[in-house]
Amino acid sequence: MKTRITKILVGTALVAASAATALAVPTVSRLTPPSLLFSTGEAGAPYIARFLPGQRFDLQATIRPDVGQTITNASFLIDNKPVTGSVTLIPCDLNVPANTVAPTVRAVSLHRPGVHTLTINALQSDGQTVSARGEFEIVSIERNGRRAKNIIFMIGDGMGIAHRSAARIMYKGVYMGKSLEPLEMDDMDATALVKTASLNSIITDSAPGAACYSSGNKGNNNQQGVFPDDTTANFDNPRIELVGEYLARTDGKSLGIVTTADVFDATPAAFGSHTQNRGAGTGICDGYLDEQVAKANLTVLLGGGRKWFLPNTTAGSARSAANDSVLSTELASAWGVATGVSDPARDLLADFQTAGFTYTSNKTALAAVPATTTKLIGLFALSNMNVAKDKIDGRRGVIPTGSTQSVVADYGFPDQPLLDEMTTAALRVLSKNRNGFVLMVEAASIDKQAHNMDSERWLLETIEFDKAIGVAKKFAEKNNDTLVIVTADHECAGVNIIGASTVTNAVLQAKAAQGGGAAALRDSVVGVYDAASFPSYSIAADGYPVTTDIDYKMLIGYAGNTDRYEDWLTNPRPLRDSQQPFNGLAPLNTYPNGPLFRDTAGGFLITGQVPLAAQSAVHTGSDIPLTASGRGASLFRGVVDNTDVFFLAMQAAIGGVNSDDERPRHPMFHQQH
Amino acid sequence: MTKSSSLPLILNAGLLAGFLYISTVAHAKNLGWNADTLSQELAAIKHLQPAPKGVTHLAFNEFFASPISSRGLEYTTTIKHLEGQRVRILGFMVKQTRPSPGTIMLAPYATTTHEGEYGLCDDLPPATLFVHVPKYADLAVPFTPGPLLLTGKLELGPHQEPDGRVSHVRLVLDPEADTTISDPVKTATTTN
Repeated sequence: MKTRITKILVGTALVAASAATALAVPTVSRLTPPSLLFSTGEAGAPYIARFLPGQRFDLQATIRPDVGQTITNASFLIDNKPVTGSVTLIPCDLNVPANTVAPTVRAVSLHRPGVHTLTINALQSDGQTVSARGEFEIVSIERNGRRAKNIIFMIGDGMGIAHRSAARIMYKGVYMGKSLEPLEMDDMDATALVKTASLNSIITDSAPGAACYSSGNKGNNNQQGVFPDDTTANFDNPRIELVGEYLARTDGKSLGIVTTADVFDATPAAFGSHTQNRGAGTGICDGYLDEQVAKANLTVLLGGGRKWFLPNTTAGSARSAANDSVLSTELASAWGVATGVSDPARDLLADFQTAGFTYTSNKTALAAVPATTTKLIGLFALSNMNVAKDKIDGRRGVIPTGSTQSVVADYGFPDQPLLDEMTTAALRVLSKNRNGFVLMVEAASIDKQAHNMDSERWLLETIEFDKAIGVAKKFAEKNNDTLVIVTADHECAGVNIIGASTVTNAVLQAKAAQGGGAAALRDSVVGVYDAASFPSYSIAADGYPVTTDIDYKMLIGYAGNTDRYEDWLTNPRPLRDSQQPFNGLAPLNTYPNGPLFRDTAGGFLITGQVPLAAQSAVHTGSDIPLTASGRGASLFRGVVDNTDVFFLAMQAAIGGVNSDDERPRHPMFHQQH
Repeated sequence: MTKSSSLPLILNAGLLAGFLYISTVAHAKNLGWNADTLSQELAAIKHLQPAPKGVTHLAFNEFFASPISSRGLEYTTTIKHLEGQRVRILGFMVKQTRPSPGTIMLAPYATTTHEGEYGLCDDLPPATLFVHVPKYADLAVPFTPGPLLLTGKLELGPHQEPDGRVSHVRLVLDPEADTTISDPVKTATTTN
């Protein structure tokens, strides 16, 4: 295998080096869908691009003409047969020579399973021609057994194995070597490990990390629902039909998107947008209405991010022409969507309401949504929602020392729902579609708080997520044609459980205040192996820990860390979020501005392994766990690629599963945790 | 094409000295350099006099109300009462890669925008004050770091700025600034 990897890398270099010399000019520098055959010259598995039978995707090549020449004609062939549909020559403007163009054919689909060859032929103005080949696979879907009508993706953003283990220790307890109870995400029928690399890196970000589940294909970092191209335009990349769009078109299912982040954030948007720029919030959110409602039966959209839905004449709006989308006529026509206009003054929220959506802006209103509601949009903050710890503290009336009100009140949104409450509301609406639905529920701040190395905040976020999983499982028990998949998009921060404190909370508080540095806060506090014993947390009636600052508390380390001060104590306030409307104003200006401006009194500086410029801990490349229950869960086993998850879910939804594969786990697993 | 100006803004060396003094106190490390906090602390050590008669000192956290409504941000009662009146405010000039002529943005903390790379996509806080300088409408104001104390007439309501941004709180700068700050801080003006 090592030899093969080396060969591939050398092959890539040779293609690049020879592009302008040994090969004919003009040259083909990119062929989409991507393939090893085009990039390395080697045919065969693994096939980089794979699609469902009938799933639509775009064909594109980037062709660089000789100096002073132009490309006058181009055509695509699949399996040596001409592709029907007009070829558009899209001008390229991203680090390419003059007159470079991207011949494109939109919304192609094939039904015959197997490997197919793709050929591009192009003619230059002086009569020279160029040709290149690639390949892709149409995945076979076996039609046998009963189908999963509803698919629920539960995504704990950044949630690796250690996030789950730590949440189990805190939430359910471990004693004498055994977990006293399983997490909801533990107590599921099937388990797999998922590999997470993106198309251009071993370390993915959330955009392609989630889009692999919605499209079945790898993407470059920062890109979702598309393959990379050589233009600067954010919304013109070669598209891949998403799970919501495909199942709405073929089966009449609905789509729901629920997140604790701003709804334009990468994971939710990976299930409802096609863009090379995960930051293009205005265009992404416009697309939820203009494309996803129309093409994916989007009927539930819950999260933060109200700032994209308000006209820029309303204070707090973030709508801007600079990140809006205006599609080309050829793209819009082929995919059957509107081109859209640049409209920062659009009242998108009013447009959603005109389209029949019920709008809710806080927990109280969400709880009062009529049972007859068929379309629901809930935007509970201008940007990201607050995290579980701060929402719970707000409900408990906890006021940080030195403050006059709770953290959620400081943010201006004191009545935000928890993720399980949002999931309940989403399922109530989505279950009205007799054809079924696809629902994506994201616990976004497991990732965001792991980036901040704020252990207690991502721990409570994971507990909140587990409660939402419980809601999904309960729905699946009542509706046994439902598949529930629990996973992440990547691991964040290199989290692990390094042991437990050897001192009481009172002693730890004193050490943190006294400033003894590593000698005080590491050498005389961190208990490893036997000294860690079994930290024991009490759970309050609201289902969350009474306090996370117990005596002999669990301690967390970070392998993907930047420099930080650490005192192991729960931070009364989260780090600042630059996207919050009152960031920089009192009282949010009193919140720490990074991990070097927190826990400083103890003087225990932990030097990071990540450049300081990263400003926070980073994603890592380790595999992530997946557990699944319900119809088709047994398909998920072994070590799989993240794109496999899409195809396995679609096997359950389209092809069905044999009843032999639906056997429950051995009862022994329900007794031993 | 905008012309560069040597427009002397109301940056004051004495005020900057006071600012630096404040920044050295221990808790400034955690607080960050926040204009509203700085105003209070400068006033406490007599480096910032009360606003003169006919002028009201305004803070950034008096722009918008909290909790936030079911849609966007709403003005506070305080700022609504000040509409059309002369106010004074301390803030930081936003460093722009593409400044607009005759206009600067004043933020509650030091920040930079990169219009060349990101257009109007930025993390500017909603409580950003757009300062119009009528006397120099065709000049780009050079970036001036540090705290600025500005006085002018307050305007409210959505308004499309020349660069495409929509402002909600504006200050039409006095042609002759009359900001007064006690010694050792010297008053600066907008006169040329």
